[in-house]
Amino acid sequence: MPEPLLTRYLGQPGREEIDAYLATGGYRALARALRERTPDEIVAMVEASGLRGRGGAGFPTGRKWKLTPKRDGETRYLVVNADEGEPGTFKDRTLIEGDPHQIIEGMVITAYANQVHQAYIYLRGEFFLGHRRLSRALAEAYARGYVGRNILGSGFDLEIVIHRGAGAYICGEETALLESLEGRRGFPRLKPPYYPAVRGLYDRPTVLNNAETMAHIPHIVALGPEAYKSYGPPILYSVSGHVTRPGVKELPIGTPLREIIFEHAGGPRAGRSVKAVFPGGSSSAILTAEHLDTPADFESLQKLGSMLGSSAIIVLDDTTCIPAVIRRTVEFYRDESCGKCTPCREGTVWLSQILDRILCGRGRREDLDLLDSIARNMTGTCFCPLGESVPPSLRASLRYFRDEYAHHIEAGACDVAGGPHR
Amino acid sequence: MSSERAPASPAQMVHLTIDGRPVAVPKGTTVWQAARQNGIEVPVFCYHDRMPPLGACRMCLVEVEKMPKLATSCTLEAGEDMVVRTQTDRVRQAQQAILELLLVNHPLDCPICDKGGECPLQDNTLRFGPGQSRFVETKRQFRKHVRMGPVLVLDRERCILCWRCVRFGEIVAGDDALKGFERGYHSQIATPAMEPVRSKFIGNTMEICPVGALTSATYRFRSRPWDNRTVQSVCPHCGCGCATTLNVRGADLTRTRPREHPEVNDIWLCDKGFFGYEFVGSPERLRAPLVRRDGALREATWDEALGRVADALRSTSPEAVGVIGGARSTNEDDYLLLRLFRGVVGTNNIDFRVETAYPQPTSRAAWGLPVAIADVERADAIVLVGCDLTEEYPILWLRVKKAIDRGAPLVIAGAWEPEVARWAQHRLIHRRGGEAALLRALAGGVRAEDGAAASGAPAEAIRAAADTLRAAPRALVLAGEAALEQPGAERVLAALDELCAACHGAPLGILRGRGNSGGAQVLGLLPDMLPGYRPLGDPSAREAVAAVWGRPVPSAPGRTVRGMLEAARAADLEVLYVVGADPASDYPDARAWEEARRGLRCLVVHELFLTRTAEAADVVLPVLAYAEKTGTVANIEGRVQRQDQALLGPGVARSDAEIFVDLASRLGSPLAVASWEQVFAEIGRMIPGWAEGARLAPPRPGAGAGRDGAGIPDGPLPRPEGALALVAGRRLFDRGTMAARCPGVRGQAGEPFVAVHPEDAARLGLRDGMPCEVRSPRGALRLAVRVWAGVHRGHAYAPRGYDSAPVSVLLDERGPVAVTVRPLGAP
Amino acid sequence: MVRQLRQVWATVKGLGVVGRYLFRRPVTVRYPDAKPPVQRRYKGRHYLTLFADGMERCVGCELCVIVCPSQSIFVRAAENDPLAPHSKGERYAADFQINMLRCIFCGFCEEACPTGAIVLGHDYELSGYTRESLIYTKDMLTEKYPGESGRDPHREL
Repeated sequence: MPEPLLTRYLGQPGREEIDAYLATGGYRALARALRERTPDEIVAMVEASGLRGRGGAGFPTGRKWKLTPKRDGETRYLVVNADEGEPGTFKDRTLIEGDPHQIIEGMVITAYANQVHQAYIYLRGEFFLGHRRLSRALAEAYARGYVGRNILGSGFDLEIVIHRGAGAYICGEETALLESLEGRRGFPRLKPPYYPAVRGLYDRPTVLNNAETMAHIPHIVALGPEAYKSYGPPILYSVSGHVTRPGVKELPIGTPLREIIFEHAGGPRAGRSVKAVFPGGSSSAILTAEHLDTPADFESLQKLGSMLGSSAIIVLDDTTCIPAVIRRTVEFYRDESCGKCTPCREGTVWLSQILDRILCGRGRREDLDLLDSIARNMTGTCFCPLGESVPPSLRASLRYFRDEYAHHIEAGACDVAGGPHR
Repeated sequence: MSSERAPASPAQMVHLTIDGRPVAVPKGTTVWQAARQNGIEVPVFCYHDRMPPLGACRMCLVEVEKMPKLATSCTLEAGEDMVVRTQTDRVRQAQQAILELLLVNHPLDCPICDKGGECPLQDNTLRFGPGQSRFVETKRQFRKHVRMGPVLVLDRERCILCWRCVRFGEIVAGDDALKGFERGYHSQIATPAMEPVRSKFIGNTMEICPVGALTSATYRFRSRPWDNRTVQSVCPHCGCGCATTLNVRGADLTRTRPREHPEVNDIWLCDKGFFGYEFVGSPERLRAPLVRRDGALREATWDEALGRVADALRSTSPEAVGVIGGARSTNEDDYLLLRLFRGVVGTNNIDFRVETAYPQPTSRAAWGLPVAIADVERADAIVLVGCDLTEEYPILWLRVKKAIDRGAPLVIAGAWEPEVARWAQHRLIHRRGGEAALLRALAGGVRAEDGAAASGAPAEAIRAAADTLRAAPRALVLAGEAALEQPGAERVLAALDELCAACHGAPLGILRGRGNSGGAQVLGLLPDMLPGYRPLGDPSAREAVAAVWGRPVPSAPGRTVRGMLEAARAADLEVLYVVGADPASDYPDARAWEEARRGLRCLVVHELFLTRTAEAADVVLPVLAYAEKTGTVANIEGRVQRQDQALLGPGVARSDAEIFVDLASRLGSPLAVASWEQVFAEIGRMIPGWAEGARLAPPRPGAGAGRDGAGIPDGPLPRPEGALALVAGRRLFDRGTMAARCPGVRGQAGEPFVAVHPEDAARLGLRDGMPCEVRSPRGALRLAVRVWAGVHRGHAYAPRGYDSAPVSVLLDERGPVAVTVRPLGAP
Repeated sequence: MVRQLRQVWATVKGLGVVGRYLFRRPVTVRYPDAKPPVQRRYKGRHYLTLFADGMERCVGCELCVIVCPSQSIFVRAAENDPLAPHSKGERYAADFQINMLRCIFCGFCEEACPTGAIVLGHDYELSGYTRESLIYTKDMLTEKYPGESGRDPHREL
């Protein structure tokens, strides 16, 4: 197993300070990029590295950069999405708190590669520590000339602004993030025509990447695409739930779920077994113990009707009441729905009301078909991915754990031993 | 965020198939529009064709071949060879699903909802809905209806969050009156801080609301759609002449709605148009003629009243008869007025411009827009000089807003900051009297510094605005009352001409006149004009008119309103005939009017209500309001539109036309008029191009018109120490004769006030809301203080149109007045 | 001969019918001393029903107006004073008139009513000396006490 790249120095005391970062070769990739590479070469390197966006959609980063039109005289923006709100995901937060300069360096290189002179970090409002550390790191980077005017004497300018969100999950959706950044209500925009790459922030071409994606960039530039690929390529799995060693695990992409859970996260507590897994945050369809040998990559999980998403693996052991978990995730989306489109706004409320009823022992036999039907009606009709995130896990749970729901309805109680519900 | 789509040449057509039907539409058309144009209905809620698509309600889903998911047709641009299906099972299933979801939290209180019967949600549910809901839980609950000001009632339970009203405020009106609050299923529409809604266009949100969430407080529970008879009409308030539909239930005018007229108001209406109809049914309407007997006005028969008027007219030489008004009547009424007074009585003392003491000859400065209202949105730059657009001509603002959205800069010059100032690229707030210098500086005729020195506007801003205007190939200059109602008006006009010339020959619009001023002007209710903008001095024009009338037309030019009042003071004018006007409140010098009244032997007034003028009259004749007679009117762009009779008048009230015909018979020269159509046709024989829907644009001054203000003093006038220069402006919501009797308008108008700059307020010890006395050399008024940074320093702004506190009491027809503002009740 | 016999027979037969009915109970009712009963779902005079607490059921929605085939109903709605409401909700019928001369007692109004406010009772003595007296006003139509109409407003709700 290769050494970790992104998380190698995580947890070292004082790592967030620029001297610690410089001591381990920090900003060297930036210096090389600015001196030795043309912007196009960097784009080519990133494309060759096969890096895919780490926000959830997995769009190839190099291709995204190429899609951003570069017309002379037109303002372009770089926006980094650090509004990490997906339940179960905490990789960006870990990087921001533990190694903020890595992200800043990635941003400067990205800005150089895309010839952008104004960049924003949209930081989740609740990241208090992250904000403190990132702000300080940014100030240090400005002071040392890694950000600002004429970076390292190259003549390249970049201003970075940290913008804190106000606690809306929807603002992690790229177009809603841009609306919010512009000072408006966090509503996703219509695509087309508002593809960020073409008509993004203030209607200008905008490179919009996830924070983790930024952290990969310095390593690609430092190692070159091939050497970078030999690390896996690496990916950060956020493992949480019923495991003994939860946390961010940097592993080669495609590591089987079983290996991640049992070898790297310590497996379930003693005497327990894995009952179900969300492989990519609460938006991904729930999987059962049977699926544990699946490699955790984009394609394999998609084949199972689930997805890698932001690679947040939530492990549920056999003490878990699945309907209660699903109700919790539905409640999350209900509360976080922006209210713009009908299916998401109304569907989530209705689903949560039905699930409430079932879990209170007042379920009806027809409710299961009703749940499935509402979820089906929401599929493909929502405006943005938020609403589309609700049906997969609900429908998968109805498929894999129908008996549990049925028991709730028939017996009015939970059949999970030690579960939270009567 | 503009939905503008350029008109496509045939080469830019795209071909697609909708429900098996081949369809060709211009590039840029959405699938929804393409379906609609071909008679295929796809239901929508959030989409409104006057706003760009939003795609929020998900109602318009259709199936498109090669697309894995259903697509929202309102947002999907039609593509070449696209195959669209709107009737498949999948589409129907999705439509039912969306409607079921929308109805999950809709209270279904249709029986008590004003929208019931004309509700898109009802209609779509019936046509596309599931028929039965599977929802058994509790619905979302809000406090039931919330009154948001005098006209808007909000019911959040009924709201389906289509965002139309919010986007209307953002995109169409630009006033951000309603906004979305909270998130997800807690989302609700509200005004900031739940204050009463502040908008001049909120009625439109009630119209476009697809449910009964936004309803009208004035129409509330008065009628159901099936009770209403609809009658086409034209709004009688400002001069825009918006096309409206009146709803009538029995003898009750229940509401006014906009009627689509792409050339005038499109589909919108301002709130005065929406809610300013209730005066028609007011119990205060005059029901019978009144005649002054023993010093008091007493009810009389028509025979007695008209006999008295006829006697007065018979016993007076024609030069001693004057006529004021005509802007509230139809064209046919006005035409018969002309035939009576020019033809039968034989006087040219006719003037409809009651509210001005500085009338410019129409041949030099005709009121109105030289371009069509619809063309305003196509201007590349717009200059507003002394015109408070949303207060005076709100519908024009919607056109200006569209121009701004297209990128046209707005330049504002005035003594106070109008509401639309936040949309202006350049704001030139200046001293009253400095207009001409400022405009010449904008035109480049004088240096910006000189303009700045004379006007008080910053030189930098003048220069920047001048540069902006120079860069616009098709600018439009609009000047209003505030710029022209002053002794230096000729100079301002000359400066406006200079500015227009500097702006590559931009057209100049003079935004003045209300109601049917446009019709009164084109018909020549003016001392020196004949119908069709022909000068009275032209003998051939007089002969042409005489040929139709069979009576000679007097050749000597008549007196203006101001001239008539001066003549009355000198006892040269004996009989004054006022038609639908209230000079006692509206002539900008109340004392001048009172003195004139004392000099009159007989004052005859056509009125709806007992106004100040009517109270002082010898004969008051009750007339019909706009909704009670059929005829035509013309607006500020000169467009002739028909309004139909919706109601019978109160008591024995008659139309103006009937009265003129009766008087003519009594004077021995019957007019032989059978119907309004006959009069309309006769006007057509006199004015080329006269037809319903035609536009008779005011003429642009000829080359020889020679507007020259030389010799007239420019710049601010000296005023006593501590005094403020008074500027009078119009408000959309006021408390004039008609508006005061419309609760919806009256309520929004609030109490009359005087606005002063914060610095002046501090100097004079005035605080917001404090009662004060405003005193000018002519009179005094008690008003409430409003501290407002929008008014230029050293100026006091007072609104016209409050009959309880007419600002004309303070004004002086001889020139600008300085007022002292003294706090009342303060220690 | 045969003809005469036939005539006699016919007379006897006719008298037989008379004789038979002579001993039957008469079907005539001594109206107005006695009043014939009506069927349970007989459609007679209209009532505007009240809730048990005395609140009016009618909300002035005018659905009866639009459904009425003889156009005999007039309703004018108004907004309830929240402190002294007539009905439960925002709206009530300020005026409610039925022209009994026009009414054809079809019962559509009852069918259309979303609140069970209007019901057709069992009264059928609906005559008067003037036309005006046969335009029933809201006062006349509203039940004097809840349940006066004798009909169940909930029948189909």
